[in-house]
Amino acid sequence: MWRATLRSLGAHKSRLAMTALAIILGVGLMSGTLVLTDTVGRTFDDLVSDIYAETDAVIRSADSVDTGFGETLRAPLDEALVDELLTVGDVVAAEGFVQGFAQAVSVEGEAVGGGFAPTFGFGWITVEQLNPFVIVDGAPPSGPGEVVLDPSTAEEAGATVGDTITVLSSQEPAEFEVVGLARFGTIDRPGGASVLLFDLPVAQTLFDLEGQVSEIGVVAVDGMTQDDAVAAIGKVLPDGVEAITGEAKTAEDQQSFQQALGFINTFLLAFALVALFVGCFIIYNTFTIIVAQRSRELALLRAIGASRRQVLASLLGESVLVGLGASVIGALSGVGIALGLKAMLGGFGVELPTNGVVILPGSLLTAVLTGFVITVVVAVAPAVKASRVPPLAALRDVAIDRSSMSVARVVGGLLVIGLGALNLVAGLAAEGGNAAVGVGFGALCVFIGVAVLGPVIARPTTRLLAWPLPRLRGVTGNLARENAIRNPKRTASTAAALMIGVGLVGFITVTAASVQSSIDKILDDAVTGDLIISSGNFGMGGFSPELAAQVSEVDGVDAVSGFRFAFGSVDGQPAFVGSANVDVFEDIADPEVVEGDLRSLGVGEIAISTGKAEAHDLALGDTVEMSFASGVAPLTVGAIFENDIVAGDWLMDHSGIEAVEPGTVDLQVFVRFTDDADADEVVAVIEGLTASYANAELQDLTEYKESQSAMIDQLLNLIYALLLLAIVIALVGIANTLALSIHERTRELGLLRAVGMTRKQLTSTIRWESVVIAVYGTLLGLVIGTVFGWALVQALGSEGLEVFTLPVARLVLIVLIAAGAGVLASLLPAWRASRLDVLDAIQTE
Amino acid sequence: MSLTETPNPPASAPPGPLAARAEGATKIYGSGDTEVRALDGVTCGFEKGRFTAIMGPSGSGKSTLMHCVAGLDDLTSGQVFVGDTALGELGERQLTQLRRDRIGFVFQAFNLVPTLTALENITLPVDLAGRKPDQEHLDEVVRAVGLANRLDHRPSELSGGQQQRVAVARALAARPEIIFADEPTGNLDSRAGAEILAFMRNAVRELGQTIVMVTHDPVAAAYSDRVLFLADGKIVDEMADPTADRVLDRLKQLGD
Repeated sequence: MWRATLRSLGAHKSRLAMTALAIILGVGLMSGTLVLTDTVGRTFDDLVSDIYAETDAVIRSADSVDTGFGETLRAPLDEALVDELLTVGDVVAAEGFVQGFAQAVSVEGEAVGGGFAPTFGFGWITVEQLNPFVIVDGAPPSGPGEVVLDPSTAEEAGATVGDTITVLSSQEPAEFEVVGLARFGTIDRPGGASVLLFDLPVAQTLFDLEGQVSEIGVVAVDGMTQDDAVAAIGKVLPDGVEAITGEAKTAEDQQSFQQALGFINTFLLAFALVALFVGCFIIYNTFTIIVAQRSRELALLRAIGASRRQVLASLLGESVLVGLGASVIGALSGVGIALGLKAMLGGFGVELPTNGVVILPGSLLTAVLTGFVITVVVAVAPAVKASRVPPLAALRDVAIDRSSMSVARVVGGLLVIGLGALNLVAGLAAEGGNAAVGVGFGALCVFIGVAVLGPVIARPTTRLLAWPLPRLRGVTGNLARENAIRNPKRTASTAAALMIGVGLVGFITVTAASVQSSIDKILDDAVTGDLIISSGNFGMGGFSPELAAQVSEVDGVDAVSGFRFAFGSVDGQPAFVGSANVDVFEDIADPEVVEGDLRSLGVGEIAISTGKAEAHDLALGDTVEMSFASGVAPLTVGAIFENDIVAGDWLMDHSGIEAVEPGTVDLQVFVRFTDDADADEVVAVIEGLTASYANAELQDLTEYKESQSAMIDQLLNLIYALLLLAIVIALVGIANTLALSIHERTRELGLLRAVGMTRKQLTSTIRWESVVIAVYGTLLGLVIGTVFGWALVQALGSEGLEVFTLPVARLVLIVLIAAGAGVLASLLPAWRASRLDVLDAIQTE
Repeated sequence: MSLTETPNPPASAPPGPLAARAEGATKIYGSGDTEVRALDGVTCGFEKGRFTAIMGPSGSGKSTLMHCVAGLDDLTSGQVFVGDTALGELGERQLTQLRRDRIGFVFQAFNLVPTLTALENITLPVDLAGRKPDQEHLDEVVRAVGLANRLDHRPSELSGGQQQRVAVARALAARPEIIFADEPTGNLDSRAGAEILAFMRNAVRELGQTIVMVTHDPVAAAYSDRVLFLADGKIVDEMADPTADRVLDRLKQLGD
């Protein structure tokens, strides 16, 4: 019997190739994700251990605030502590680290980096054991007006050693001479960040840290353990300052990076699972069709004495071999896919450091096992069905299947959809991890339910959909339409594969459009200013407060408010605390104050959104314990506002944030003109002021909204790109189904060709059949995606997502692309069909 | 035109103009030791408006001859003509159009496209050509095959005999110069077979249609005007106004 299995594999290898391809792609993405995150993780681990290899202890503030992005912030230390540490007998060297915002401007006047990529400035560390940077060209920075860049930033800035560039920081923009280039350990720069290095006193000035350092690194005498060094140092540390060993610091950094990497890993794996889920449909479909086509052969086997069990074992054996082979190939191809993923993420601004490729057997094994188990499990149903072929079925014609309508199917499908809908609703109402699980499981159920119902709805829907075909394309159109619906089960499961990918595409498209229009509406309602000066930086950096001060002096400017940002936390949850010139903020943007007075908010006071007031049970006059890097600040609630989009959930006056977080810079500056001002003139004057701020972009509200939508689009494009694989797999599925169906219809094709159908007409028939299936699957997906998007908007309406928008043009475009993809999927099967020898085809058994 | 008319051999007619002909048609499969000469220099003609049967034992080359004259297969050497058109000089596309516009086919089985209705099957060649069917002629053909009330049915809803009648109707509907029928009654019971054969003969008599039929059944051959006998790829005999008994006798001699 095993010989029969192997023979059968050999005989059907071209048919199984497509199934294998579907498995390979899904497993490949999974393995690629694992290989990539393994590689990045290992690279970063090595880097970090390298950096702290000779650091025996790190001194820092004991209190910290978690940014929620895998990074913790701490208050700076007094510089004098460095000298004190040097008095400890066991300390050989100690030096303060300083870190802040600094951004280079290219020689063309463009800000380098920014957006989601961090822009770091560091003080140069002179103690070699403590310095992670290595000069690769020129010299270290040694005084005022000198800067060292990482090689990539230098290249982007178009600057080499000896050139002069502008540097943006919390001070006014200033000119610096590039005196050298430095690498971060073995890599150009960490995580796509740009790095600027300054002499320590220069850095302290730039980052508003005069007399202070962020952390202190210590080297102890030879032979002393790190624990002993920490113990020895501990005696001189003031309250609120801690010392940890270099090893502990290494482990901490590695862990926080692994955590951040974990997000990327989960994010990418989700797409790999979608791809595998889509692959399941292809595997199921192919095995079902192959088994159906072989029913005569199987019946013959049964007739000559093979038991049902033997037939079943033989069929499952096939899936075992295909699943294992394809999974192994997929897992191995993951190495190449990892590089592709890295390049793709890099293209979207997520740069990941890699050194070589790390291949962990565990990761590859996970990918192989996943693909293998999925293949075998999915193949069980068709195999069991085939093993029930009665021996006497040896002469049955596989022509048109009409067994698609059954009450059980309708009831079952509706039940599964209902289960999915319940989970979706519960998931949307839940918080955090439960929400993701609920929504994910709900979506899965809905997709499966619709797939179960598929055969019932496929016939009427595709018939309606293809209605114009016979009118447009005559008899070829008629044949295409009839072929697309002649086997509703097959059409349904082929289309279902595409439905999943497109459903997700439709969902994020609708959601993004709704988010966009909700933001637009809120901004339209709330922003009354005339101009927004935007820095384009999200994580850190922006403009020196000098800019806002200068703009407020301009004739025709009525009110100006910078907008800043600090990381805090309340009840252990990260809180993004904004700050503005509260005395005029309401003239420019309206957060809809419902209680208290925003304008009179002073130091030690905070305004909060109604949402947070409810969540943290706070009322006007209550005190909220807000943790900042500098420590816990008790803040009195001085106002409560409704709109949490324009200014976030927490808002303070600049004076208040300066007291707890000195050195923050303006991310944006909001400007309102006087009523009689000539807008063009005022803008021209302001443009003159911002000329030296290369990262400043002047936008009116419309342009500001456009830049917001550009951000959303970028994320959207990344998700599209990742979903593309699931869609490609679905298209492989369509091509595969067509190829198998055509194989089955060989005689019919021969007949058509004999009575005068040209190759072109035959190709056209198959092409349109493919288009009908592709468009059907796409429409199904878009309907589901739109419903999901609508449900999400309903669920999040209270959190600012109040407008449901159907992006009709984009959805129509998706359908057109699907039709085009259908044409693409038909190319190979149609070509092969048109090359059939007419006489051979007619005489096929 | 009656479908149940009993066989009634017509009077022998003088040779008329030819609808199709073969000249030195040779078809060789394989090479060397495995070489098989399916056709070995066959020269013959099929007269217009006549019903010709091709007979011979299996492996005699009768199907190959039909396939080659019908433009479904090509010759190793020699030439075949439909009208004055030499098929060997036609490209794939032109051959397809020739089959569509000038030739009709009736196969032994699987004659119909299962997704199309009976009527759609009948008008298939005309539709493929993008032409409007000649409604009057179509009505006449449909009435003649007695399918007027089954036109909306799919092939799976028709009996074997009905399916073959649809196939014949399709072959007739496009008014081809010549119809090739390959064992058209091979899968039918004798009553349904007789109906089809009578219908084909009447098409020749009354509509002036040219039909060439490959068969191994002497009873079927008896409906034709003339029988060509093939053996080992060569024409070994021919018989005008055949009867089943005479054909059977002749076949027995060939078999010896």
